[in-house]
Amino acid sequence: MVNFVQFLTNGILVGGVYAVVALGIVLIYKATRVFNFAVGEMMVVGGFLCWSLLAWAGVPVWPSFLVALLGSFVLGLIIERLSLRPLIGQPLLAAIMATLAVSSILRGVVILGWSAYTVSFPTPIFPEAPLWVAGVSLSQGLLLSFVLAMVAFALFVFFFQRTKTGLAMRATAEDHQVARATGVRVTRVFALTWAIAGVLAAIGGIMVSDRMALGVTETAAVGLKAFPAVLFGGLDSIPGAIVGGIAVGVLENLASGLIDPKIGEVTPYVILLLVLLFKTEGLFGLKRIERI
Amino acid sequence: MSLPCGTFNETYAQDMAIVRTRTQWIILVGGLVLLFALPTFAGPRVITLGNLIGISVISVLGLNILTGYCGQISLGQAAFMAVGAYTQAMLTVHLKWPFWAALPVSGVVAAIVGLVFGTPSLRVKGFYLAMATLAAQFVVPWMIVNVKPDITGGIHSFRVPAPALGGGLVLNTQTEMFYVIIPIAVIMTFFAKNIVRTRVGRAFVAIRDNDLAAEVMGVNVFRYKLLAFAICSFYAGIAGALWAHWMRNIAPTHFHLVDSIWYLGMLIVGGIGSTTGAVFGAVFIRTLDLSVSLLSPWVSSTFPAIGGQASAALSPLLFGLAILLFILFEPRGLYHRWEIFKAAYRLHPYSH
Amino acid sequence: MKHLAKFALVLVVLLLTLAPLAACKQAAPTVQKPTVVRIGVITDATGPYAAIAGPTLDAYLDAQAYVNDTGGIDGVPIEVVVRDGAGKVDLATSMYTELVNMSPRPVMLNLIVSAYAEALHDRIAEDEIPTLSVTATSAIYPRAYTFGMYLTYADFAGLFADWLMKTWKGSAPPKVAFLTWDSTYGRAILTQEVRDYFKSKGVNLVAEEVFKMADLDVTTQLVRIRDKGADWIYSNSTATGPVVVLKGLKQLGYNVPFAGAIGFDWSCMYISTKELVEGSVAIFNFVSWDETDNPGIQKMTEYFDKASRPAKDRTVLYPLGFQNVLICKEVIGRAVKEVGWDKLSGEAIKAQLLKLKNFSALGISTITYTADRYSPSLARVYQFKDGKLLPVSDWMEAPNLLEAKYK
Repeated sequence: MVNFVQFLTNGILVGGVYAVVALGIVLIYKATRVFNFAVGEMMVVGGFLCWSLLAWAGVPVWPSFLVALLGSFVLGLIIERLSLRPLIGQPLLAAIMATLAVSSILRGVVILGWSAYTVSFPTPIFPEAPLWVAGVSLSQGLLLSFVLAMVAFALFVFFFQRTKTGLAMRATAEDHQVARATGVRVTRVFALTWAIAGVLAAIGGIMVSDRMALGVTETAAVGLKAFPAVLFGGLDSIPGAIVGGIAVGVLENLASGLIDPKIGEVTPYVILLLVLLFKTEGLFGLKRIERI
Repeated sequence: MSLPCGTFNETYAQDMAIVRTRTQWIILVGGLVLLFALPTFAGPRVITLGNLIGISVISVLGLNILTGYCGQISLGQAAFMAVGAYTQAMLTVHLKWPFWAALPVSGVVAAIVGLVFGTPSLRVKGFYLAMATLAAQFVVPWMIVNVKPDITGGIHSFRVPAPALGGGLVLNTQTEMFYVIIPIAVIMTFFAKNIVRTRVGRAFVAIRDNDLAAEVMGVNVFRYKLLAFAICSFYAGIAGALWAHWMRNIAPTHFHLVDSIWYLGMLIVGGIGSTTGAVFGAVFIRTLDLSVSLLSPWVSSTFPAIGGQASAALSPLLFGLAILLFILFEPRGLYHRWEIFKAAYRLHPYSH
Repeated sequence: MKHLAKFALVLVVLLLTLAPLAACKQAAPTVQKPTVVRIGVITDATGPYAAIAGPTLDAYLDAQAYVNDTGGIDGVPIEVVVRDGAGKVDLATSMYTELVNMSPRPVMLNLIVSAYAEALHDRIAEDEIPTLSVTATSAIYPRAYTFGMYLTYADFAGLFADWLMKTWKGSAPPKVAFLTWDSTYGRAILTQEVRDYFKSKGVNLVAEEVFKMADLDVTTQLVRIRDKGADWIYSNSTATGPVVVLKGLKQLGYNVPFAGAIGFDWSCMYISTKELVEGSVAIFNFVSWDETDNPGIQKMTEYFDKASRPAKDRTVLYPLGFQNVLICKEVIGRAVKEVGWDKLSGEAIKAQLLKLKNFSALGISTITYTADRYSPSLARVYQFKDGKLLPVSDWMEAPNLLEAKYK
C-alpha cells in the first residue's frame, strides 16, 4: 500500500512537470491554432539562461530563476515577431513548419552560445533533501515544481477570467476575425501568448534540468512527453493540460511500478487511443459544432 | 490545370493526359535519362543521397495522399515505415523470400497496420488524429522490442541481406541500389499522380475540403479515410522495406518520432497537396541536411580558430534558417513557386 | 493506356541501357607510394550523442599532431578525416560511402557512435576496412572487420561480479539489482549469459528493471528494487541516466552502493553535488584523468593544453580518440613492415590487429584481440573518493560473456 501511494505521488509530481510544458503548448494552440513543436528547445534555452547566470555570473538561485523567466518571455516575443507574425493569414501548416524550423535554430543557438555538451547547474535550484510524509518520500524539487505548476494554473485562470487582456485572448481564441472586429489587437495577443508560453517552457526546462541535467537533447526529449498530456486533456483546455499532464505521469508510474517498467512509456499512449475513441476532443476539449 | 497558350484539347484522351505537349514529353524523357544516367557521372555521395531521397520521396508521397489530399494529419509515418522494414527483413531473412516477392507484402502489412491506427479517424479530427497516429509511433517500436524479440531482433538491430534478384544477382553497392530504388520511386510517383485523378482521389479532396459536405454528397467518408490510411501506409511500407535493404540493417531507433515529424516537414516545404511538391520537399530537405552536416567538420578544419563547438552549431542553425526563410517567403511550398515559374514561362512575353 | 505503355517502355529501355554502364565504372587505381595515410572517423559533432562523442573530435586532431610530430608511420604523415553523422544513420551511411570512395582511401575507420557501427557492420566487412568502434554491445559480432575499444557491456557486468565476490564481506551471497536503460545500450547486460555467470559466481541477481532516457524520475523502479532487498545497484546507462538514479536513491533515503560501467564516468560530470557520487564504482578499461603520473595522461595533457581545448572536453572519450590513432599507427606500421606499402590492405592490417597482445599505447589502456574475442578483456574498477575517480583494483581479466549465437 505504501508502495502504491509512493508510485501514485511520484506520478502526480512528475506529471506536474509535464503539465507545465503542456500548458505552454495549449496556450499557443488555443490562441493561434498552431502546434508548437519548438517547445523542447524553448525549455533548453530557458534552462541555459538560468545556468549562465548561475555559472558565469554567480547570481544566487532565485534571482537567476526569475531573470531566466524574463529572458524566456523576451525569447517568446522574438520567436513570434520573426517567425510566426509574418505567417498570419497563411496556411496553418506553414506556421507549424515554422515552429519546426525555430526548434532547429534554437538548437544551433544553444550550441553556439552555450554548449553542445550536457551540463548541470552549479548549485541545485530546488533543495535535494526529500520530504517524508507517512513513509512516502517526496522529492522537494518535484514538489516545488508541482506547486509552481499549480500556481501558474491558478494565475492563468484568474488572468483569463478577470483581466481585460485575458478576455481579449479568449476572444481571439474563439475567432480571430470577430475579435479583430470588436477592437482586439490580435497581433498583440499572439505576441503575449508566445511570451507566456516561453516562460512556461523555461519553468519546465529548469525543473527538468535540475532533476537530470541540462543538455540540448536530453532536456528537449522530456518536452515530447507533453504531447500525449496535451491531447489527454484536450488541445484547447487549460485545466485539461493540468489533468492530462498528471494523468500521463500517474499512468506511467503505476504501470511501471505495479506491472513492469518495460510498459511504462507505452501505457499512456494506449490509454490515449482509447480516450480518443470515446472522447474525440480529449477529456476537456471544446466540442465544436460543424456546419457546412 | 491551365494549358499552355495555343494548346487545345480535342479528345477526352487529350483532356485526361498527364503529359500533354511535346515539350513536356521531351522534359520527361530527358529528365528520366538524366536521372538514370546519374551514376555514370555523379560521385558516390550524390548517389547515396539519391537513394535516400528516393526512399523519402516514396514515404512523403504516401503521406501526401493522406495529409495533402485527404486532409488527415499523420505523425506516424516513420512507425509505418518500421512495419514495412521489419516485415521485409523477417520475410527475407527468416523465410528466405526473394526481395521482389517480399516487397509488396511488406507494403500490404504496413497498410493493414495503418488501417488499425487509422480507425480513430472515424471520429477524431485534425491534431487529435495526429496524436492517434503519434500513438503508433510509440506502440509499434514497443511491439518490435518486446513482443517477439527472437524474431524481430528486439532492441538489437536486425541485419538485412543485400537484395537478391534471383539467379545469383545480388545488388549491394549504392549504384546498384540506385537502380532498384529509383525505378520503384518513379513508378510510385506515377501511381500517386494517378490515384488523385481518379474517383477515389476526388473523394479524398472532398473529404479534405469538408467532410460533412462530402458525406452529404454520398461519399462514404469512413471508407475513404481508411483507404487513404491504407494507401499512405502502403507507401510507407515500401519505403521502409527499401530502407531495410539500403541500410542493410534496421533498428527501432531508425524510425523515430522526429523522423515522422520531418516527413511531414518535407511535405509542407514541398507544397502540400501536390505530387510534384512531395518530390521537391524530399529533395530539398535531404540535400540541405547532408550539406549542412558536411559543413561543420569542414569549417572546424579550415578555420580552427572558430573551434569545434561553434562549427557544430552551424548545421542546425543553417538548417533551421534555410527552412524558416523559405517558409516565410513561400508559405505555400516549393510547388507553388514552381507553378509561378511555369506560368511565367508559358505566358512569356506577356505577364497574364 | 497508350501513354502508360509508352512511359513503361521508356523506363525499361533506360534501365537496360544505363544500369550496366554505371556498373562497369572502375574504382580508382591504388596508390603505390602514399604521400599521406588516411584514417576515417565518423563521429557526432552535432546530434543527440554530441555530448559524448564530441570530445573525440579534439582528441583525433591532437593525436594526429602528436603522431606527425613523432615521424608519422614510416615517415608518411597521417591525416584524420572526420565526418559528422549528426546522430542519423542515413547521414552516417552517406559519409561512409564518401570515405570508402575517397582517393586515397582511408586504410582504417573509427566509429564513435554504436548505431553507426551496427548499421555499417556488414558493409565494413565487405569493403574490408579494419574499424575501431566504441561499440560495447554485441553489434561488433559476427566477427568481421569491426573491433571494439571497450569490453562489451556484458563482460563489464561479469567483471563486476568477479570484483564483488572478491571484496564481499557479508555472510549471505550479495544481492544485485540491474537498473538499466531501456535501449540497445542498457539492455546489452540483460542476456542469459550474464544471468548464468552471476549465478555461477554466487551473486544473487534479484531484479532487472529498466528506465527510459527521458525519464525524470526512477524512484518507482527503485522502490521495486528496494522491496527485493538489493545490496548493490548496477546500471548500464550514461549521460543523464546515472544522475537520475543517484538522485532517486537520495530521495528515497535508500543507502545502497551504486556501480556503473564505462558510461558512468562520462556522466559524473553532470552531477553538481559531488557527494552524490561519492563511493560509487565505475568499471572501465581506460586510464582516469585523475591518474596524473600516467605517461598517456601526461602526453594527452600536453597536447590538450597546446591546442587550448576547453576543460569540459576532458572526458574519458578523449583518451579513447587519442589512443585509437596510436593503435591505428601501430598496426598500420606493423602491416607496412610485413607486407610493404604496395601490398597494404585491410586484410593485412586486420591480421596485425589480431596479433595485438597486451598492447598499451602510452599506458592509456591495454588491448588484446584474439581470434574469438574482438574486444579487449582487461579493465579496472574505479571508485569516486573525495570527488576523484581512482582505481581500487588491478587490471582484471573479464570473463567472455559473448552471446551463444556469436560463439
